[in-house]
Amino acid sequence: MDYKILFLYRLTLVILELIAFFVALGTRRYHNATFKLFFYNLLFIAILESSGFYILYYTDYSWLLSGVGNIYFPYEITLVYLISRQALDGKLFKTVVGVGYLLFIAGWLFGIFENGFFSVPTGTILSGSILGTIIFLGALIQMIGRANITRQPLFWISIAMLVFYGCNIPYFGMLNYLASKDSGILKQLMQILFTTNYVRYSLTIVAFLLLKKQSQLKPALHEYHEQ
Amino acid sequence: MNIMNNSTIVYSVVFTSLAILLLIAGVIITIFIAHRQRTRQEIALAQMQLSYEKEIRTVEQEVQEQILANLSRELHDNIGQLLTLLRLQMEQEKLDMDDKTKFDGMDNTLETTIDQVRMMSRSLNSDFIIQAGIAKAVEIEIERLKQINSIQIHWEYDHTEPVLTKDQRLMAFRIFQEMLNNTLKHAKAKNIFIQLQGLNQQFLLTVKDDGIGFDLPDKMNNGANGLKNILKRASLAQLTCDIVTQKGGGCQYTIKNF
Repeated sequence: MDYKILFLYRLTLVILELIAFFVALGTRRYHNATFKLFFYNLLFIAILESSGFYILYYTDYSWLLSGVGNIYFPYEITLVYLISRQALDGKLFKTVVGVGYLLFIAGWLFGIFENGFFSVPTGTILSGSILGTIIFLGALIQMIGRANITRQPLFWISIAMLVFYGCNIPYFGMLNYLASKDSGILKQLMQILFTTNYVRYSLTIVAFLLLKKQSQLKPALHEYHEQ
Repeated sequence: MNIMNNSTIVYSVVFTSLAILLLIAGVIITIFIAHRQRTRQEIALAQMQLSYEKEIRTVEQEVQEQILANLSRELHDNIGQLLTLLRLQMEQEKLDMDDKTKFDGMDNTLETTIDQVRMMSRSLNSDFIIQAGIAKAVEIEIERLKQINSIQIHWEYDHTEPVLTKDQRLMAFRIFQEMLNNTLKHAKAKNIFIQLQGLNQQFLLTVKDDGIGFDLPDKMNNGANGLKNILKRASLAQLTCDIVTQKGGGCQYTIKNF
């Protein structure tokens, strides 16, 4: 892919992530425990992506970014795991997710031990994506029967995360292979990553705005019912 | 070892990603369909419960009306007749006595008792309420309460009989009785303001007091069967009932058909 187009893709992603972060920041007073965790994730992403963008294009330390997956994925998957503990029900489901999370952490530590910190952790990213897909698929299934499902912020953010994790599984799974074979293909396939990220952060913005709207509606409904 | 060429790799990854996306879309659509089905089931179940509850309430109401009708008949045919007989006997006694004023006190009390029994009999009799209309029934009830209570009752009526069905008339009157009963029992009011309007086919009955009021959400959450009954009865008769109150600020009940 052309250097300039890749730059624009990355820039658009950083801007979208920052917008999502500021929307989340603006709606902070309406956050419940689950959305607080999503907010911390956005905060981390905004910092990481902006600094990564700066390092990649304006410094000579771009080699530092090869280890970013070893920071980003464990942090995000830990938050996603905590979100699943907060927002989801079902003992079996929680056990499966718990075991999955432990395996993920073990795999991550093993990956660092084996390949060092500054390497692309394909296994960690892939297993994290599969775990994320399971968690948000579970979240969506558990929402069946809830009132006004399309007005639930968790519904939209679950779709966002599901699209991101689910659609990137093939790409993440071939990261190491493609990097070693031909980095040109890797750059071509990055469009999948960018597209799913755009979907993810757009829907995240929708979810945070819905959260605000829903929280503003609740007192009014409460008053109505009291009458 | 067969090594894939670049375009095959790209297509494989892209198609797998698209397949997963389609799968996710399918899952979301399935979730939507399942959600709609479950919502429909829940609505159907709620409607069934509601109609069952309505049926139970209707039967309860019919039984209650039957008991009240029997009581009313007993009061009118039995107690009323006995009191009339007692009055005749007293008249007979008076004829034989020199001092005809001796029985005046008893005579007045007896007269009041006969009136009270007649009015109570009417207020219990659903046929009378249906035939005479809500305005007349309310008026008689107010008259009856004025005689037995020290509370000032202020009655305002626009002299238009509201257009209500038989069931609505009866139910509105029973709700009115429950409202008054609540006010007399709990409100510690000095004044009760009753207003009835029937203009433009719009029925509006208001019972307002200057009593101690109460915390409505708190009452509704902790028992208050009387209040719940008022609301349920109103909805059963397709009437709207509003209760506006606050501690120390009196209470206003409104029942209307619009």
